[in-house]
Amino acid sequence: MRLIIKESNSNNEGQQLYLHYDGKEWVEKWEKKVIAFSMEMENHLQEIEPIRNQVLAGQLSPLAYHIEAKIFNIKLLSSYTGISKRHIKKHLIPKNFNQLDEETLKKYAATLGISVEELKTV
Amino acid sequence: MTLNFEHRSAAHCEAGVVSNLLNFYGIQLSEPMIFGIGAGLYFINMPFVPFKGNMSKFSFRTLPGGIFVHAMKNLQVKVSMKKRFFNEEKAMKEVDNLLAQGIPVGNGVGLYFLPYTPIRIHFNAHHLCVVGKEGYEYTISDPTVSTIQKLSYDTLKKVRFSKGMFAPKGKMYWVKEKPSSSPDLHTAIMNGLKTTCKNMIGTPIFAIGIRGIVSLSRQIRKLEARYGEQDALIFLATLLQSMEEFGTGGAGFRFLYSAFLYETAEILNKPEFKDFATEMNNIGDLWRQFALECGRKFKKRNEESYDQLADRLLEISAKEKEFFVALRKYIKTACKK
Repeated sequence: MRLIIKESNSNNEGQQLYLHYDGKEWVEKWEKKVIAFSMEMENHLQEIEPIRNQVLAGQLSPLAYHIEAKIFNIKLLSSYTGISKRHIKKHLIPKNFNQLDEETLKKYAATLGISVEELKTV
Repeated sequence: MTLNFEHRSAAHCEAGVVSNLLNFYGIQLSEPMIFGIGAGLYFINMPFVPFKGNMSKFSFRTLPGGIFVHAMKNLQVKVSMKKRFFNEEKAMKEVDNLLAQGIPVGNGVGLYFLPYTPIRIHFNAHHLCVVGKEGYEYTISDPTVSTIQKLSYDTLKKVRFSKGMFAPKGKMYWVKEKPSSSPDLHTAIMNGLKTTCKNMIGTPIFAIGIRGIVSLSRQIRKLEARYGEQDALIFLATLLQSMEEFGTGGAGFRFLYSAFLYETAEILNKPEFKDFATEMNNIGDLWRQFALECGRKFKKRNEESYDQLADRLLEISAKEKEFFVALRKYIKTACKK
C-alpha cells in the first residue's frame, strides 16, 4: 500500500512526498482498519436496540430489524430484490410477514446475506 | 488461466487500475502521474443531494471513469468502454471473451458485497481489474488491497450490478490496441494541467471548483440554524469521510496532486514545478488541519465555532485560487514546446 506522508519541513530539496509501506506495517494498518470498522458496527447495533425491542414486543416484523442491522434501506432493498417499496413497507408489519411464502423470504435473505431462519428470528 | 499481470497497490482505485493496465502494456507511469494526466482533481458540493447516509454529496475528483477517459485520450492510447449492460449473463460472457484473448479488463463495481474488505457502505464508484479465470473463480487485482484476490462468478456478477446511486451497471473498459511504449508525455501533461485549471477556476457554476469551496463555507456558517445540532455534526462527518477516508491519499487528493507536480518537474526538466508542488503540499496541510478541526467538533473536544471553520475554508479557497491562477499563467508562457 502506498501512503502519502509529508515529511517534517527539513529540506525543501529532495523532499520525499511518497513513502512505501508494505509487508508488516501494511498488515498492521489493515488490521487496525478491520478493528475500527467492527467497533463501528457494534456501535451501530447498540443504536438500533430500540427497534429490536419493538420487534420482540410484536409491533414490527424481524425484517425491519435486519434492514437496519445490515445498513440497508427500503429503496435499495427494493431495487435489489425487485419487490416494490409499497410491498416491503407492508412486510414490516408482523401479521403480513408471517404469511410470506418461501420464495420471497429467500429473496430477502439472499440480498441481506443471511439464511431464511436467521431472517425469521431477531 | 491467469495473465502475467503485475499487481501494484495504490491510494486511489481508478488511477491505480489505469496505471496497472498501462504497466501491462509496457508504459511505466506511476499512480500520481495518471491522476494528473487524467485531470482527476476537482471539487463539487452538490446542493440538491441529501447528505444523510450518502457519500456522494461532496466529491474531490471527477466522475467515475473520467480519469480513465482523460488519461488515455491525452496519452493517445486506443481504448474501448462499455457503459452499461441490460443482460447480466451477457456482461459476464464479454469479460470471459476478452480474457481468452489475453486482455485484462477494468470494471466499475460497488463496495458493499466485496468479501475481502471490512467496509459495508453502498458506494458504487470503486474500480478493479479482472486478470484471470479458472472454472468459476475469477482472479482480480484490486489496487486498494496488497495482494491479488479471488472472487466467485456469482459475487463478481452481484458486485458489478450493485444498485443505488451511480450504479455501475456492468461498466467495463480495456485497451484496444497495443500502444507505443514511449508516449508524448509533454503534451499529455500539459493537457491534463490545462483541464484541471479550467475545472477549478474556469467553471461559471457556483457549486464547482473554487466557487464550490466558497459556497461550502457559506453553507457551514448557517449549518446549525438550518439542520439543528445533531444533523450539522453528521454533515461535518460526511465531509470528513469523503475527504480523508475513501482512497484519496489524504486531504482530498491534494498530496497526490503535489506528488504529480513533483514528478513532472523531473520528467520535463522544469524545476519551477517543484515550487508548485511544495505550495500544493502546504494547501494540503490546510485541508488536513480543517479535517482535524471537523473531527474535534464531532468528538466535542476543544471545538471551534462554525464561523471559525468557515473562515478556514475561505482561507483555503483564496490560496487555491492564487495557486491555480499562477499555474495557468506559467503553463501559457513558459511551457510552449
